[in-house]
Amino acid sequence: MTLHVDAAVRLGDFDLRAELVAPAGQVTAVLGPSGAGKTTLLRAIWGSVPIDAGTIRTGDRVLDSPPGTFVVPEERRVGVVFQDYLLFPHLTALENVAFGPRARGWSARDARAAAAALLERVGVGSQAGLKPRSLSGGQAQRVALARALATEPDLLLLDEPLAALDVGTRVEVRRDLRRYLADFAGPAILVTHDPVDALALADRVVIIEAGRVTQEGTLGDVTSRPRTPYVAELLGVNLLVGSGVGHAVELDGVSVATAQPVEGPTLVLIRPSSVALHLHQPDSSARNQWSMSIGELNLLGERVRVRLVGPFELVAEVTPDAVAALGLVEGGSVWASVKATDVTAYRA
Amino acid sequence: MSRVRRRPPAPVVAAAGVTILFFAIPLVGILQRANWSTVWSDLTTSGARDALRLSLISSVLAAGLSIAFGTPLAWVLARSAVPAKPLLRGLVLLPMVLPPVVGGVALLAAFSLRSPIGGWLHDAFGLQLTFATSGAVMAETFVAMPFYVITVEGAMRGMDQRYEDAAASLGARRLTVFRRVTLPTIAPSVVAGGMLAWARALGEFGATITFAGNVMGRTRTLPLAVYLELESNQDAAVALSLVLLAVSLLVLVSLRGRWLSSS
Repeated sequence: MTLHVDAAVRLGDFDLRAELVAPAGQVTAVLGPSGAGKTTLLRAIWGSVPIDAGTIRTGDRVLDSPPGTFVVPEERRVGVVFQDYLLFPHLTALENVAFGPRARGWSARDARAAAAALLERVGVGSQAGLKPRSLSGGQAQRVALARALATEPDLLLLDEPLAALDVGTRVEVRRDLRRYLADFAGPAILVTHDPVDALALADRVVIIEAGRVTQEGTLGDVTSRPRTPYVAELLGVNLLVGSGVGHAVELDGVSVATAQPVEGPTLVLIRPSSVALHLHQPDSSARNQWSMSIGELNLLGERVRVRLVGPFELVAEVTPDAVAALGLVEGGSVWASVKATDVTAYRA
Repeated sequence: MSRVRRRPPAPVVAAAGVTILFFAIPLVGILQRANWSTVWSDLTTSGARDALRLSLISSVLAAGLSIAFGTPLAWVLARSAVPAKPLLRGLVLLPMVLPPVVGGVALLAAFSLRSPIGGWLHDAFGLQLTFATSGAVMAETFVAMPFYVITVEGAMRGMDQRYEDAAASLGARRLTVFRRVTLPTIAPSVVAGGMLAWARALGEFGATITFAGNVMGRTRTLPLAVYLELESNQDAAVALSLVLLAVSLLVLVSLRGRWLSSS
C-alpha cells in the first residue's frame, strides 16, 4: 500500500504544496532546509493539520480530501516518532508503549505484554519501568519508536528522529533504526535536514524547499543530478545554472565547456574534487580556466574545501599538502581549471 | 548572578515596610485580642460546632461541585473554538469581581420560591434552595468556582499540547486523551484550583447570607456565625475567626504561589 500525497496547506503566511509518493516497504527521506515545510507535511499526513486542497491517501483509503473527507488522527493508523519524542512524562516506558494498544481497546494485560516484547526488540527491555526523564536520549528514541510501532500502523512517520542525539549515540541509533525500518512493511517517511541520515536510511529522497517539492527520486538520481543549489550543496557538489549553446554553457558572462552538446536551460554539475588549482594560468588541456579569489578555506577530514569567488562561486576540494605547496590563503588569487570531461551538464 | 547585591533605594524599602505593616497589624491585632483561655470552650459550644460542621460540609461540597462542573468548562474554554469566548469567560469569572451580596441578590431573584425557576423546582421536585443548606452550597459554589476554572484553564493552555496530539496519533479518542494525558499533566493545578475554591467557599459570607439566610444548623456557616457572635460574644467571634485565619494560612502555604504561575 503506497502513500500518495498531493496536497496544499496554508498556515498563516506559509504555504505548502507537496506532491509525493511513498511506496510500501521503502523509506522515503524528506530533506530540506529548516522552515521548508517538512514538519507541516508530516502533520498533514497524520492529521494534525487539515489540508486545504488535494488528497492524501494510503492505497485506496482516503485520509484527507477537502471538502468531503477528513479522517481524524486517532483513526488514521499512522505511527509518528516525534522530533523530541513526546513520551508521556507521567508514564513509564512500558506504559508509554502500551498506551496506543490500550487506546485501541486492548486489555491492559495484552497491551503491556506487547509493549514489553517491543521494548525488548528495540533493545531497551531493561528500561521498561523507567519514566522518560530517567532515559538517555538514545533510549528515549528507541522507546518512541516502539510506541509508534505498537499500534501496528499502516504508515510510519519519523520527524528528525536523530536530531536530538549526540554524535556517538547517533551512529549507533541510526544503524539500529535502519534495521527496524527494513522490517516495517508499510511506507516509512523520514524527515531530516541531515543528508547523512538520508543516505544511511532512505531508499528514496524528496527534497522540499520553501514549501515546494523541488526534486524527488532515488538517492542515486538525486545525488548525481541535483536540480537546485541547495541539493548540490547538501550533497557536496557545485551546481551552476546557465544556458546551453552546443559544447558550452553560458553563465553570467562566462562560459563552461562541456564534453557533450547541450541546448537551452542547463544545469552544470562540477564535483569539487574535479577542480584543480594553480598559482598561474595553467598551460594544460583543461578547457575551463578561471581566475578567481579564495573566499574561504575549510579543513574537512583529509581534504580542504576551498570556496572560490569570481564570475561565479565554485567549491574546490584539495589536499592540505596542496594548500601548503601553493601557499593558498583566504583572499589570495588562484586559477581554477576543470576538464570539460569532468563537467556534467543536463537540461534543467 | 551579580557579584554585588543591589538593593532598592531606601525610600522604596521604607514604603514597602509600611505596606508590610498594613498587612501584619490586623493579624497581630486579632492574635492579641484573642482570649486564649476561652478559645477552646468558645469553639466547642453547640452553635460553634454546628457552624464548623456546616462550613466544612458545604465548602467541601462547593469545591467538589467546582471540580465536577468547572473541569469540563475549563476544557471547553481552553481547547474549543466556541464563539464569543471572551464574553463567556467574562460571564464565568464575573463572581470574582462582583460584590458577593450582589451575587446573593441575583441568586435570590432567580431561585427564590417566587421566581419562575425556584417555583418550578419547588413544585416539580419539592426542592427549596433558600434558607436551606443546598442554597448555602449553591451560593458558595457560585463565588468559588471561578477560582477553580481560571486555574485549570490556565494550566490547560500552558501545558505542551503536543502530548495530546501524540496521544491522538496513537489512536486515543478525545476523552481518553483527556483522562490519560491532559488530566495527569495538569493534576497539580487541579489540586491547587480545588483548594483555592474550597478556601473561597469556606470564607463565603455575602452571597450566602443574602440568598440562603442565616439559619442555625442549615445555612449559618462560620463567617455568618462570626458576624452574629460579634454582637453578643466577641471572644467567640475572634475564636471562630482564628479558625478561618488558620485555614487560610494553611491553604496559602501549601499552594506556595502555584496559582500565580501560568502553568
